[in-house]
Amino acid sequence: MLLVESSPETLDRRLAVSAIAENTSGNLIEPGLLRIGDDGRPVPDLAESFRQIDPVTYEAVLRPGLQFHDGTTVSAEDVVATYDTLRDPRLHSPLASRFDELSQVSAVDARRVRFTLKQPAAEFPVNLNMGLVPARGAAAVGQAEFGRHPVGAGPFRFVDWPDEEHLLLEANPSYYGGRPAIGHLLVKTVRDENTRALELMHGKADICLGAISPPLLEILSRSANLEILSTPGANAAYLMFQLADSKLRDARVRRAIGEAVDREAIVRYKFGGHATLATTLMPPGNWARDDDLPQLPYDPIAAAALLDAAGLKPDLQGIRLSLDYKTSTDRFRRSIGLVLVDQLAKVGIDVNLSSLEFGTFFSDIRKGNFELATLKWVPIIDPDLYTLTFASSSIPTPDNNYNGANRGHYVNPEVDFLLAQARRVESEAARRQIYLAVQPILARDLPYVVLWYEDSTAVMRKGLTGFSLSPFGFFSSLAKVRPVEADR
Amino acid sequence: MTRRWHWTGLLGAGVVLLVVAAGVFAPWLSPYGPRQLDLPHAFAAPGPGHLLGAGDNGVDLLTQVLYGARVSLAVGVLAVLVAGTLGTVLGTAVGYLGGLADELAMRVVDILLAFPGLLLAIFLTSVFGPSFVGLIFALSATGWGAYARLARAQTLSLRRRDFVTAARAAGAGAPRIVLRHLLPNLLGPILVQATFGLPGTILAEASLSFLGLGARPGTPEWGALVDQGAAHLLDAPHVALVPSAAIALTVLGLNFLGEAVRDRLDPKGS
Amino acid sequence: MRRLCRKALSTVLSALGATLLVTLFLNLVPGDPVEILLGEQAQQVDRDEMRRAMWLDRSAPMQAWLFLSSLTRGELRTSLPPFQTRVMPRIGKAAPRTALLAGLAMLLASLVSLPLGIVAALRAGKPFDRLAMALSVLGISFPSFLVAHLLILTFGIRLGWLPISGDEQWLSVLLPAVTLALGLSALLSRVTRVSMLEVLGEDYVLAARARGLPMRSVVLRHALRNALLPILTVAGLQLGAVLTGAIVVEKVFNWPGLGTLLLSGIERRDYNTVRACVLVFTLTYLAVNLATDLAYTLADPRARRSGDVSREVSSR
Repeated sequence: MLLVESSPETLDRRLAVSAIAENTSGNLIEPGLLRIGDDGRPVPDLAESFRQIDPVTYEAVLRPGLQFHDGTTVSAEDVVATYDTLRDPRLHSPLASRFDELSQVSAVDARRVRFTLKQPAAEFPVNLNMGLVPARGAAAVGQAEFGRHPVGAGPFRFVDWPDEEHLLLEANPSYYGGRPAIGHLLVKTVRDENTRALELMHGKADICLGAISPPLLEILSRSANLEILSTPGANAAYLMFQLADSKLRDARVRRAIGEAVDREAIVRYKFGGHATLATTLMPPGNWARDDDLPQLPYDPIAAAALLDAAGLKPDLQGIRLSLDYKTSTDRFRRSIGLVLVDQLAKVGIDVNLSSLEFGTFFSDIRKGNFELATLKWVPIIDPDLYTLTFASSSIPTPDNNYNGANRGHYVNPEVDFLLAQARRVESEAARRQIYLAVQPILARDLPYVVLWYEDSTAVMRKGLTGFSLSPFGFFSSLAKVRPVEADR
Repeated sequence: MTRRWHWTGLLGAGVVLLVVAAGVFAPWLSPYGPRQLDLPHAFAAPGPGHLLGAGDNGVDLLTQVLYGARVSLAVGVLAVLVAGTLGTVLGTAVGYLGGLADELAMRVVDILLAFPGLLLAIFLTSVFGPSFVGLIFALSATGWGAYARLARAQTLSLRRRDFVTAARAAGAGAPRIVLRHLLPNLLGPILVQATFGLPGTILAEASLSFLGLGARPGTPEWGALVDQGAAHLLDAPHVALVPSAAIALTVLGLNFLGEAVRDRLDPKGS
Repeated sequence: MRRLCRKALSTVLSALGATLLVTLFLNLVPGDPVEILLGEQAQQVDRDEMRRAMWLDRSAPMQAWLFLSSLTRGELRTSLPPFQTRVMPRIGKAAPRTALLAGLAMLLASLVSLPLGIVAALRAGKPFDRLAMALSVLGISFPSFLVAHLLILTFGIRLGWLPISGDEQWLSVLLPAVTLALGLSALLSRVTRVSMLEVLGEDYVLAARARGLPMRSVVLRHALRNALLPILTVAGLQLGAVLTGAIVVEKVFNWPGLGTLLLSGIERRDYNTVRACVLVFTLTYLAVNLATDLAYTLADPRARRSGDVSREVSSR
């Protein structure tokens, strides 16, 4: 039994928006041509090979002998059907916009598929992890139908979904990676975290991925029949500044704030060590990461000096600057927020923390209606994320319908240029060079103070083996889990 | 019978005195500042560093409980005072004057009493968001009706009595009669009502702050503390239980004290 | 009969008054309602949308009319975009859950407090009585969240017998109902005791005893039946406390009832949902009160001469 914190809204990978839906459908039931490797690079999954033919064309070759759960062979036709229906407006897929650059998908022969783009887009291949569905099923454009009875070529096939909280899957004997050792997999939704912990402690559930917060991990780690797995996660928690606000326009102020925060203490005491200090958005292990960037030091004295230099001297009550800080109502996040408030107060920054309900919070963030805010980017796969977060074209405004995630209104023509370049070059090495140039600029300008990378965690009952934890918290590895052989 | 209420009454008085002292002397008695964090000892069980344990981010629970006493007592006493004064004055006035004013006032009270229990308070605070003043306003609004009804009933029965007729014959105006003659006689029952009111109001305040509708977030309030601790019943149950115990103790003490006071003022009461 | 009509009229008037208060309260408050709800930093776009969603650009009577008519037609929408969802379906889903909780709590409370109160009355002054009354004082002094947490810690965490959150299993209703029932039991047992004592002191009881009838049959046949009425009345009138108590209990146990809906509406500043929930609670309470009064008056002819039932029994 796998415990999850919320129910997938659909099992149709083409429609999945939430992480739980993506993981359940995409990892277990309907994998795609490619999958995301631990370092963020796309890696062949159902495809046996994948290459770029010219700047706008990619070719994938399916493995021989692949079968869908209904027994039919997986062919290039199915791939074409998957991507065509995905972009068909009648399906109303929220993911369709990821494929705007795709001009055409065509089958060259029974196992060979070509993707033609409108213009070079080096970040495109990552999207080819889209779950493949049979051409016949793909034609079922009525959402509810396929999403409730999915068919794919994954390690587990769909059995039943009697109510929101119980999803039953069974092992697929014809999976190309071998039949999973787990005969049946029940995905159970338990919304209350304490209840999840209790079910694990009392042995009612076998595994829970990423849905237990650090304080409870501590308790669970003391349990004799549970094992805690932990690995640096492909995410980054960050403190975002509203640069359009005059108070935060001075880079010295932003740096001062960054140096006033004792991130190490937070990682040690609030995450119990299950997090790593961050320097850049790209998490450790990512192929595009600049590993040579220095850490922002914890130095309240230097921070105070920076604020002095920026002309912010303490007033009679010792306050130099007042800022509004917004965060969600999530208790853990709010609790971290309180620590930040306390630390910033020590250098004379008076922070007013408001905990907003998610809808309001997200709306305010999108509209730039904040001064400080803490959020987390998850998952972080491809460095093209930088375009979404820091390109000036990504600033959400009423005119562009609030598209784009550059909510802090960061504008830097040099960065814009570099990011556009990175999309056009072909070789990964060339891309990496460009991103290695971008990251130091961001570390100097500090539109974000990247706080830490939170570990991807798993709680598993002892007696199970074969599971390897992905930094993305993917469920795929469940296909390899098996009970430990009992000693005789 | 006499010996029975005596010891519970004394116990109650003792507890109440303790709580009042805690609230008044909080800044001097607290080992830590009210907003002071102690990250390395987050959720520590009661021990040498934190006598009653520590909560989220290491806030000292003893400190929070002491400062919380201030808020609970202040809100409770003020709400009862406002409700009691307002209700009594209004109830006496309309009871004495009678007629349209009486009908109208009683309709208003009926409307307010149409809301079950805390619902009116919840509703009123929902508009303004958390604030100290809003809390007192909401709690008084919920409570004054009972005092008004009581005062009116007493007034109605008293106004026909001899001493009132005599006073009127002597030429005393309405206000004088109300103030000099009626109010003093009302005080007993009103005080009895208040002894029910105070523990009830403190319990109500605790519930409101538990629901997130209390004073401004960040103010140490017992109910809010319990709310924060509720998420950690598994790993640190003391965080929720300590402030809850404080609430229960205070209300219990007030109830015992109230019973003793009632027995003294009105021995034949239920 | 006349008294009943008067009572019914009074209830209707109260209901109307309460409804108006709930509907128009924002207008009575000094200042701009939208600014109060959204705060100063709200963007103009959001303000305009909220103003439209709550008809604040119309006159007060128009607002009340629009709110109520859309509520009854099931058309009422949440006042906070972009989630322009309908309010009534949510209430329709949540209300039965709260009803289940409240109903079960009242049942459990009666099962416990009736015997307790009766026995305490029969042994008035003796140790059992003193103990029972001491426990009941504890019961009314303990905040319900304390009881809830203690139950969770014992039965949910330590023993692992019962679910502590949500309504996913059928056993999930047990701990929340017991929590609600405990507070109610404390009060009900006191009232039962008082009522029984009163009845036991009545002439016909003494006469029956004098005739040599055994205590038990006296109790069961005569006293109980007459004592029952005030007890049931109080139980009915306590529904108000149960309903609002349910709000706290639902929060502790993540029980998806009307209380949870109300609280989430407040959190989201969705005033339309808040108003609708408050109305449902209030009108239910008034209806049950009226029904209880009706039942009481019909059942006990003696009550028709005495004063207002609620005033009589709630003065404790």
